[in-house]
Amino acid sequence: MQKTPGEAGISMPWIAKQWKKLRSTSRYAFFLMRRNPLSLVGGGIVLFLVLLAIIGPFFTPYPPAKSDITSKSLPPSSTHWMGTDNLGMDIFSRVVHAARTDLLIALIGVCGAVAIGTSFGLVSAFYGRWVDEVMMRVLDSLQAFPTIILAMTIAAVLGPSTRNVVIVLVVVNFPLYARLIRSLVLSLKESQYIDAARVVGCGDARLMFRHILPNCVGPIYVQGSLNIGWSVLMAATLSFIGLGTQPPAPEWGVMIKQGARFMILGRWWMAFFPGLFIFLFVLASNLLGDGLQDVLDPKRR
Amino acid sequence: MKVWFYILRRMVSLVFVMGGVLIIIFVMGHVIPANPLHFFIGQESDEAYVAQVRAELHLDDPIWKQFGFYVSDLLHGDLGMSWSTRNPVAADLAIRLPATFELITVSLIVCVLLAFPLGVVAAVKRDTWIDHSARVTSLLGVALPSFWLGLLLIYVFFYRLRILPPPMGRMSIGTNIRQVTGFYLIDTLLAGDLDAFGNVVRFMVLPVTALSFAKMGQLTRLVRSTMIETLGSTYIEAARAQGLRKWLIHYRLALKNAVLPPITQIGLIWGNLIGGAVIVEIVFAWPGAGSWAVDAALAGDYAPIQAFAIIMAAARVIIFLITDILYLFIDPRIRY
Repeated sequence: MQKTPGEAGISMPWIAKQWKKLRSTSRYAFFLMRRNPLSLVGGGIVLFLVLLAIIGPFFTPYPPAKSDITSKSLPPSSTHWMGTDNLGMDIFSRVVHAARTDLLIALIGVCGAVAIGTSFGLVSAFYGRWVDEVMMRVLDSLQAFPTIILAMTIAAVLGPSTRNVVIVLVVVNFPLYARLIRSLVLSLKESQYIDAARVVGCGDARLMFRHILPNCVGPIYVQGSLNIGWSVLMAATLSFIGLGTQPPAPEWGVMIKQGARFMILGRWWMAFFPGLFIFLFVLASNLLGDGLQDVLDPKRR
Repeated sequence: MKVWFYILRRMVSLVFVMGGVLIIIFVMGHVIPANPLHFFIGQESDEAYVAQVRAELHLDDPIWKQFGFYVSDLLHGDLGMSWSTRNPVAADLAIRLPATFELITVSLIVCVLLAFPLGVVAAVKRDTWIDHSARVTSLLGVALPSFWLGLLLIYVFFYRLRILPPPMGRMSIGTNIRQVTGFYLIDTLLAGDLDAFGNVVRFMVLPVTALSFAKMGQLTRLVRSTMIETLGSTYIEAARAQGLRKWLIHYRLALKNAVLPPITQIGLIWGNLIGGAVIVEIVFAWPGAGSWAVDAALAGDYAPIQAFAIIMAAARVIIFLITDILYLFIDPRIRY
C-alpha cells in the first residue's frame, strides 16, 4: 500500500538516498580539497582525535583517576607511555579520557552557540529596523570585552565547573554566528522566492526556518569547524586558570595546570602531552576549516 | 566636516556600548546569590546595624535604582571593595595595572618589530624558504596555547639551559627600583641603574615571547598578504616597466601603501593581547592586574574581576575608536 510522504517516516529508500547524497558531497569535497593537501591532513587529524575520544577511553591501560603512589612522577617509559603525574596517575590514560571531555565540551558549546546565534541573527535580520538595531547593540557590548576576560568573568560568577564552561562557550561564541547569519539573511531576504512564498501565505516562522535557513548552512559549517578548535583552547584555558573543569577530572587544561608547577623541577611530561594534544586539535581544526571554506563557500557552488 | 560627524557618531555609539558593558557586568554581579553583607557584619551584629548596612549598600532599593547608584559610584572612581585584600578595588588596580600594561606594550612592540620585516620579506621573496617558514610559523602560532608555550619556554630556557630567570615575577628578589611610572624598564633607566635594567629585561624575555608569538603570526600573515596585493597592483607594474630598481620599488613605493591595513590591525592586536596577558601573568607569576583579578575570583571575591573586565572593555573600545579615526586620517580615500 502506498504510504503518504508524511507517513513513510524513516525508511530504507530514504536512508539510501541520504547516503548517496553524502557520498557525492564527500567526493566533491575531496576533489576540491585535494588542491589543498594540508586541509586533508587537518581533517585526518581531527578524525583521529574524534575516534580517540569516542573509542579510546575503553582501551586505556589504566583508569584515568587511579592514583598509584608507588609510581609518582615517573618519566615516560614502556609501562607509562607518557609518564605519571605527582599523584601516580597515568598521563596517557588521562590524556585519552580528556580528549573525550574536551571534545564534548567544545561540541556542545559550539552547537549551543550555533543554535542561539542563528536564531538571534535570523530574528534580528528578518524583522529589521529597531529590533535589528537593539540586538546588534547588545552584541556590540558583549563583544567589547576581550574574549578571555568575558569568559573568565562569567565563569567566576557562575562558579568553576564543567557545565559552566559550556555555558561560557555558548555566550562567548554566539555573537559570531548571529552576525554571520544576519548578513546572510539580509541579502537573502530580498530574493524572489521569498516574495513568492509570502504571496502563497507563508508565515514568518516557516519562512525563516524552511526557506532562508537552509541556504545559510554552508558558512556555519566553516565557522563551526574553526570555532571548535578555538573552543577547546578556551575551555582548556579556563580550566588552567582554575575557573573551569576542576581536578581530578581528566581535561587537558586541568592536566596542564597540575603539571605546571613541576615544569621548573624539570618534569616536563606532565604538562607537555596534554598541551600537545590541544595544539594538534586546534591546528587540525584550523586547517580543516580553511579547506572547508573552499568547498562550502556559496560562491563556488 | 564629514570627518567630524563620523567621529561624533562613533563617540555616541561608544557611550551606548559602554552602557551595555556596565549593564552586563551589573547583571552578572546580581545573578549570583552572594551576600555582600558578610563583609561588613559578623554573627553578633544587631538588627539596627544590619539595617543600616543594608541601607548604605542600597540593597532594599529596586534594581534599576541600584544600577543608578552603581553607575554614579563608577563615575566617581569607586570600584567597590575587595574583601580578599581588604583594599578598595581602585587602589589595588592602580598598583597592579602598570605591570600588565608594560607587558602588553612591550609585547606589542616586539610583535610589530618582528612581524613587519618578516611579512615584507616573505612577500618580496615569495615561495622561498623564508616565505614558507613565515607561513608555517604563523599557522603554528595561532594554534599554540600561550600557557603551554610559556611552560615549554620555562623548561628549555630556565631548567635546561639556565640562561633565563625562573618564572617569579618582574625582577630578582631584593632588587630595589624607585617607582616613577610603574614601568620598570623606564624607571630603571631613569634611575641610571643599568644592572637593574638588565635584570628586568631578562625577566621579561619569556613572558613577552609567550604573549607575542601567536599575534606575531597573525600580523606577519596580514603584512605578507597586503604586501603581495600591493606588489601586484598596476602602478607597481608600471614602475617596473619604467625600469626602476627593485629595491626602490619595494621599499619606497609598495611599502607605504602596504602597511596601512596592518597598522589598523595593531589596535585589534593590542585588544587581544589584553586577554592573553592574563594567562601569561598566571604562568610567570607576573604581578599584574590579570593575575590579581583571577586570584580574587578564585577566592570568591567578584569586585576585582568585574572592575578589571570593565576597565579592559573600556580600554579596548577606546583603542578601536582611536584606530578607526587614525585610519580615517591616514587613508584619504575613505573620507569622501
